[in-house]
Amino acid sequence: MSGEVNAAVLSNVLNEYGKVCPDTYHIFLLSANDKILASDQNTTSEDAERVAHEFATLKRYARFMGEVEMLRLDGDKRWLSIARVEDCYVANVAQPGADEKTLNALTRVLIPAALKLARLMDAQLTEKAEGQAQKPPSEEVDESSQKQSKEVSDLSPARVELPEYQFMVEPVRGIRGLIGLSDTVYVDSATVTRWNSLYAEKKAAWVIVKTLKGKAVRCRYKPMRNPAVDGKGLINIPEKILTVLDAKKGDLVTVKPVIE
Amino acid sequence: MVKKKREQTGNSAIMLQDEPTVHAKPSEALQRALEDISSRPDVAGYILRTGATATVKLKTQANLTDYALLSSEMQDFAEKNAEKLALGKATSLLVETENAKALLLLNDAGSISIFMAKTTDHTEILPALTT
Repeated sequence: MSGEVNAAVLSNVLNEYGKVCPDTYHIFLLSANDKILASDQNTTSEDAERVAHEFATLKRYARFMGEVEMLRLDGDKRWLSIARVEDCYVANVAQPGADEKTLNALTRVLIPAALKLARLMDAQLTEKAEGQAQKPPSEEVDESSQKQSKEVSDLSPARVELPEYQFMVEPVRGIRGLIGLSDTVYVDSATVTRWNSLYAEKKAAWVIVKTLKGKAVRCRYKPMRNPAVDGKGLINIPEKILTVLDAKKGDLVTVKPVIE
Repeated sequence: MVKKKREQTGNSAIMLQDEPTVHAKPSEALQRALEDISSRPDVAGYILRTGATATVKLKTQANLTDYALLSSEMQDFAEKNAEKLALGKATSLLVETENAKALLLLNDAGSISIFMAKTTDHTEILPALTT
């Protein structure tokens, strides 16, 4: 699960990278042991895996000179660069004349920040999983979460729950925060489309938003309309719901749609 | 049947030649440029491949096999990935490691791999070999 979160967060960042540098054709991230961590939407996993395989072989042959830190392959149409960033490698393909200064800056700043964020999320999830594993079933529900669980269990058995999705909390701000619906959260539009396509004839009218601490609330939802936050792994939650959840900006929550 | 001939030139240059061979002989200007480059204290040496011939000149023979294998692998990497990623015709490949740099230049006649210290500015070397 955490691996999926990592890949989703990193892929979003790589797609943004591609938007900032339109001269970039492909960008993907390799782990130190040559596994594909994430790739942008223009890169197929097959392409990335082939490059990763070739790169692994080259690294093996170059080991007598030390670990490979950077590689640059120039062709007469495009170039490929693979640079080590922390314990990963960032590979990108761009065309001659691309703004290399910006590309380097993004590689050295944006990617480490994204990796840090993904690892933080990973740690939170691991912590949650360990916490759940340690607690005996009878003690699993504390008083506050008991109330919430009751609220959640009010859902009738006829209701079907779709898989959980994880998002990072972004409070509803601006004019929408003032005049918007206080019982409605705004979910990534691609996720809403996915829910609709999964159960075309039945619509998920509600979602259950749950924090890693176990507090949950059932509320209405709408797809995000703001392109500045849409598709970035965020969920817009009004202050009222945040108070109930005891959550703040940057916290990780799971969102589970419920169809009736 | 391929017969191998080994010829020693100077202290460290080794020419490995497979016969029969049909290849373009490197120009005198290129050979002179390579001699100048390899005489730099921060350059470990070079491997020049033309057709089926490889000329290896390294200051130390300790890692001769490693350098030869790396040179071959770099050429392989450049050709395969240039095709896969639609880079066009591969012209150069630079590999920078913790301790050193390897630069591969490709052209129709063959390839040149130059091994140098990490601190060497490879862009200073390029003009002499590409003109």
